[in-house]
Amino acid sequence: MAKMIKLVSGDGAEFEVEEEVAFQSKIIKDIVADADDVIPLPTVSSKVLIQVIEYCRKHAAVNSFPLSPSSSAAAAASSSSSISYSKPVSDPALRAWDNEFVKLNNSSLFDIVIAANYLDIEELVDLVLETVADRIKGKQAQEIRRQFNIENDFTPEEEEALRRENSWAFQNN
Amino acid sequence: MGQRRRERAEDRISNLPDHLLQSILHLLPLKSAVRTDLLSKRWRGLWLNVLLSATDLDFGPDFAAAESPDQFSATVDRYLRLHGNSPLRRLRILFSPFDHLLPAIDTWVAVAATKRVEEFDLDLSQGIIDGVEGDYMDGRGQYLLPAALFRCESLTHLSLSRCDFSRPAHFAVFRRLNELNLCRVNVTDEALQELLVDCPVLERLSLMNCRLLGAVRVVGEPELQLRALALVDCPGIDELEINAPKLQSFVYSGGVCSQIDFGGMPELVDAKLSLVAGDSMEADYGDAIAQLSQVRNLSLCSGTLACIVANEEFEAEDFEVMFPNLHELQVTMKHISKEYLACVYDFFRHYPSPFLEKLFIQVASQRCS
Repeated sequence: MAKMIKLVSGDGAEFEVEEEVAFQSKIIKDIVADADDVIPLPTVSSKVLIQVIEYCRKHAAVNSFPLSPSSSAAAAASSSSSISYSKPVSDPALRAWDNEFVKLNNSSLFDIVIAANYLDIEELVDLVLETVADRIKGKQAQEIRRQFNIENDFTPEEEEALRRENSWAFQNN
Repeated sequence: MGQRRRERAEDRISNLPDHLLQSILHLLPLKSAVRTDLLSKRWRGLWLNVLLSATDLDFGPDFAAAESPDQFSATVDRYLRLHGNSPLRRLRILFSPFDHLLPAIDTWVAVAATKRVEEFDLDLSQGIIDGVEGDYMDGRGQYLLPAALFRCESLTHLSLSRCDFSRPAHFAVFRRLNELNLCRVNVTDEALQELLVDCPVLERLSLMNCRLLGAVRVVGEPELQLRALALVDCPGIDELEINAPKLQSFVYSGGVCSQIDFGGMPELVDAKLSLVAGDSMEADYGDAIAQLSQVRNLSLCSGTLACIVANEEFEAEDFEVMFPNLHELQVTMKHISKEYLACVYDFFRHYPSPFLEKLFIQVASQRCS
């Protein structure tokens, strides 16, 4: 019977997860080592915690079956701990799953990355940051501002001066 | 304050912790990272960290487009200066040897050497070339490489285009140089010989449009490590001798040669020969091709094929050299003609290739197999 860990979200909901799933989070692994298996996460809402657990469940399943050829390299690269930091994700099926997972609006992505950062789930942090970077790549500043609701607090003169400083970058692709 | 029809949605990205924002910027190509400079005061200057931590700087087409030479030069100066003492592994610069900007180029080469760059691509080939003579129309000379470059022992890959490669008297060996590409460089036959000695671990060599080459001897003591060799459009080459025991790939594109010795390529896997047909087809390539019978992949243009088939020995019905490893033959033709197809037929008649799997005949830009 797999050892279960209880995670309690900021709004008081409780989630029981298998140890190996929860241990995708380095923070949780450290806390549990101190013989505490009910873990309050006051800064993480249920909605986000569910998504993070989903990610961890998927990645724990892949990491714990090193016999599958595509992830054997990953397993070989990682230490004996159940947390794998193999980068990049080598299994194409897993990568496809990840790409589906991050088809979220920007706000949800930021919720997840902040939670994953807090919980120290390195692969999930990287995944979300890459997704955000992809949404910035190739765009001009105005488009990026629109996408992310960034307020332009430069005066037109200031902005023009900045453009001139590195004019090569502002040519259109 | 009453509800607005469109409330300003929250700017969550700007409120991310610094290290996460930095991580995002590091995932962007430099051009995109620089654009974030404009987003808001919070973002201003964050991209500089990306520049500082870049180990690969490419002042290539992205940079050069729509900038005047002086602007380009000023930007490269500024970015290299900003880069400070950070390590740099790879540097590429795409430019042209403008007379008044030569000192700037000197500085960039010096910086590359100081930073112990491993891969350096100095491509000064920008410019308009006279189609007939093949010379640049801008009247500029080749860029004289500073001595600093020849003391840069960290180099593993070096590409130079439109440079004067005259080496200083006390030249240190390019101990780690693995790949060398010279285009429109004034390397002579003797200089090439010296290079092969002075680059003991050189594995890949390409010489393109090097006009001073005439009698090319790729031979070496001790044993050459060369695995790939390309000689492309060097109009003066008349003699070719290749003795490179580890060579696996050989590309030759140019004029017809009067003397060819391909005898020293026992490990050759890929060969590509493309001859600009001269007025005289005196040189026959039958012997030379026979020396390539160990290859697995062979690519020939129709001009080459014609030279091969002009071999006198082809008259003899029983002249035959087996190509036991040939798996793929690619023939490029300007147009399909009976004569060219007859050449292909003749090729197989005299060079039987029992294990041939693929035959490509490429006409202009079409491909059929």
